[in-house]
Amino acid sequence: MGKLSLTLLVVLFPLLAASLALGAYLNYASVRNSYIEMVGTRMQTVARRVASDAQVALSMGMPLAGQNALERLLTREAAADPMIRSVDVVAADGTVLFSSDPVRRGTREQESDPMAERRMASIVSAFDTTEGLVVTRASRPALDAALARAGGGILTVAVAALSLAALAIAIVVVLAVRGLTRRLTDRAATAAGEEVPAEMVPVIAEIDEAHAAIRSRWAASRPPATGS
Amino acid sequence: MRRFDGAILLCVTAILMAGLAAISWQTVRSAEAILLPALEQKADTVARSLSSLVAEAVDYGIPLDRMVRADEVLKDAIAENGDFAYIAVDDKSGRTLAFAAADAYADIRGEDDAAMRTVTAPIERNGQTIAVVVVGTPDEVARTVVRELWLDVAVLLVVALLVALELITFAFSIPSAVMMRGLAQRLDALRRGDFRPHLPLAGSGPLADEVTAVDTAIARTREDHRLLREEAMERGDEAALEELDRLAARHQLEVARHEPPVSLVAVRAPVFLFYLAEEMTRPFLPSYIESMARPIAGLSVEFVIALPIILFMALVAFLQPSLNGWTERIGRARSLRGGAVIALFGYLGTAGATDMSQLILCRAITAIGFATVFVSAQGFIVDRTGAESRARGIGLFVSAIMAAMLCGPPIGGIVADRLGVSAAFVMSAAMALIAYLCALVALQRDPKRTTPPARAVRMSDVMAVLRQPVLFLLLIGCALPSKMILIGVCFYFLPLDLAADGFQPAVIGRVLMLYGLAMLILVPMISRVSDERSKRVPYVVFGGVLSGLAVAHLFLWPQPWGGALMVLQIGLAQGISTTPQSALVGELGRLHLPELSEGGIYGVFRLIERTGTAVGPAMVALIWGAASGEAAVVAMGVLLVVGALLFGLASTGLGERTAAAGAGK
Repeated sequence: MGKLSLTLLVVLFPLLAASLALGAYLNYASVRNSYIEMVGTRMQTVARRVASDAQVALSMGMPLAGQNALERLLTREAAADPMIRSVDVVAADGTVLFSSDPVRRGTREQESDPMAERRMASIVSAFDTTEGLVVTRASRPALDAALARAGGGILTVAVAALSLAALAIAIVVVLAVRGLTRRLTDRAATAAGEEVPAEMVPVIAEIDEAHAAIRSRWAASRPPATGS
Repeated sequence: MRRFDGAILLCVTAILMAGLAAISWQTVRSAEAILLPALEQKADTVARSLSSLVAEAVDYGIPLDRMVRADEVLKDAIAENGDFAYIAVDDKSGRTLAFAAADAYADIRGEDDAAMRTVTAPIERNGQTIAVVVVGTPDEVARTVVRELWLDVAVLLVVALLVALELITFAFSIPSAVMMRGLAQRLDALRRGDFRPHLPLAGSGPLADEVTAVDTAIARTREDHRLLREEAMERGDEAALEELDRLAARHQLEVARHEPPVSLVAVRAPVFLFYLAEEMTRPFLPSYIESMARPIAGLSVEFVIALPIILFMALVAFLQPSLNGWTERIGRARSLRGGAVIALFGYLGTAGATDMSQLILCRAITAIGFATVFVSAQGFIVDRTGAESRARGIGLFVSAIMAAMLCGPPIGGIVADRLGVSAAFVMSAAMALIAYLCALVALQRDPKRTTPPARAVRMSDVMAVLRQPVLFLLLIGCALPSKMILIGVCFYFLPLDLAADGFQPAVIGRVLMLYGLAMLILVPMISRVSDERSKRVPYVVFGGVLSGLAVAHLFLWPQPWGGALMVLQIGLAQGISTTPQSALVGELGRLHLPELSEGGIYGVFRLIERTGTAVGPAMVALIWGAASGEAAVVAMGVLLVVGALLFGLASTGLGERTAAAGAGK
């Protein structure tokens, strides 16, 4: 029976770990998505606001590359949100025309940046041509730091839950199997001499006794009729 | 609890639930700690941006109280940020210099500020604060964020719990646990005085010896009773016969047990995991295909996107009849494992596909694996159950599929969001591998078959069935379009439509899971209440009409709520109609085609149903390409409503006749 407990625990522990890990992962991923979506919406709003200003200037005939006043706007918007790494105005050919970060001016806009979560808004002219983009870059390390705090909390609880659950399941399995062993070792013989768990004997005995009563009634009367 | 296996199962489930609930609780706490400040940060960012703008104007020499069109700037900021109630610029004395509010909060200032979270940013000149920008966000916004968070976590808790329960069920399908459950079942039955014989359990060790001892005791008691009854009849002892009959009735000494074998549960975990692998792809598959779709001469883009889905469904539909005999020859357990391996390669190939032709090929390979697993699992159950226990055995299989339909889309959506679509396909491949391993560990070898294999569905069977007007309307008017709308609208059109609206796979997954949820809850309930034969036609008609009308939600509500309500209503409607429809097929078949076997009629029914899964996306794509997506969705709805109503009209007075057919059976 010890082997049965062990087999059950060997199978149950990995399944328990997998179930709790799945629950923790799904929860963390969901929080992460909500958070990035929330920050992304904020970044997108900033990008749209800058793009809208640039479009107004475009509609007045001022080319994008000549909108030097945007520089101040970008600096102001970036300073308003500690999560923002930079707000850039990018020309259609991918060159950063204006940026809240002076170092980025004149560089090529990278589509994938491991250090930033990007949100964009197109700058569209009155003739419906895309003249450029406003790119808001949120600091990935800052995002990750906030998410790491949330993830750390979930991980701690998941590990604690796993440890406690493993202990509880071990106790349940051991107690249940011990109970089973007790029931199986408590044996008794039926009227026919079969060794079976004692709890079975009364119900078998009930039938055996009923059968025996009929037989003894017959034994006390006469032998069966053998036909005419 | 006396049933020790049940006690362990219950305790393990309770412990798991407690663990998952603790994780959910911590998730809400952690999320509140970052989401609520992020919400406040949004107001802070806007307030600071506006304060710098005003400070700049003041620096140009414009006095604060002479600024023109300041209200308009604030109004624009309100329009850009739907969460805000108002934005104001107040001078040092608290006098409002400029103000804009959302329509619902036009008179908010000074009246209901207590229900607001306010953020202020100073407007400074020469280091002195000369005014402030105040942004008010209703408390309700934060409450909504928290409410949605709880809803999210609750959904994930249900999903994680269902997966956990399936895994625990698997733990109880390993040989020693099956033996333990078998013994528990025997002792429990005997305690209730139930002496019906149990199906034998193969194995060795003390538990197996115990099972044999109990089975021997039961067999001896029953044999004793049989011999005694024979003797009583020989003696003509009426009193003894009466007494023995009473004893037999009380202890079920003369009846057989019609329960599926305990070992049947072993097929559930592989089926669940395998279906989970496919269901996980639902939220992002159409968009993934779209990302690779290239124009093909003569075909609309929509049809090109639908092609891999149509091919997948068509292969699954048309391979199944021939696969039945093939898996029977090779062995159901072995075929199931083989199918899982084929699908595994299909998923891996799909993850790495770089163009449309590779994608189509890999989806075709997955379809072959999928069809093989489906047929093998169904055959595994059919081979091990008699007519009396087959429904319960198939119920085990169907409920595993429904649980996978519920859990798969949200999990797949989250994985695709977090790790990307290719990684999600790799995860599907991993699920197929785990399904293979579960099948390897838990599935028993196939017994030697003593009866000849059932023949596959023939074209002549299809024609014979469809020549009967009522059966034609049931199959073509109800069964076919119900699958068309499910695959064509819910699993092809809707994910594309939601993705086009900017919704992430995680949201799409949660929308699609509502179908599985509705079916999982409703099917067992309806199976019980619709057993009264006269009710079956109304259930089928009502379900069909309700399913067809569900498309209206797409036009009534904004997304994703419109899509969610449509999927939920289709799930509820099909939950209402599925079981009665299936039962009606058999009853109408016996009534109109007594010469055709029940297996043959059901074969035709399944074939037509599966054909609907391929025709659905094809038809939606054709109409979408030729007219619009809305027209395609409406056409599907109309088709279902008309089909169901025509069947309803054709079935007037059918209740009594099918009842007679049922009684005849």
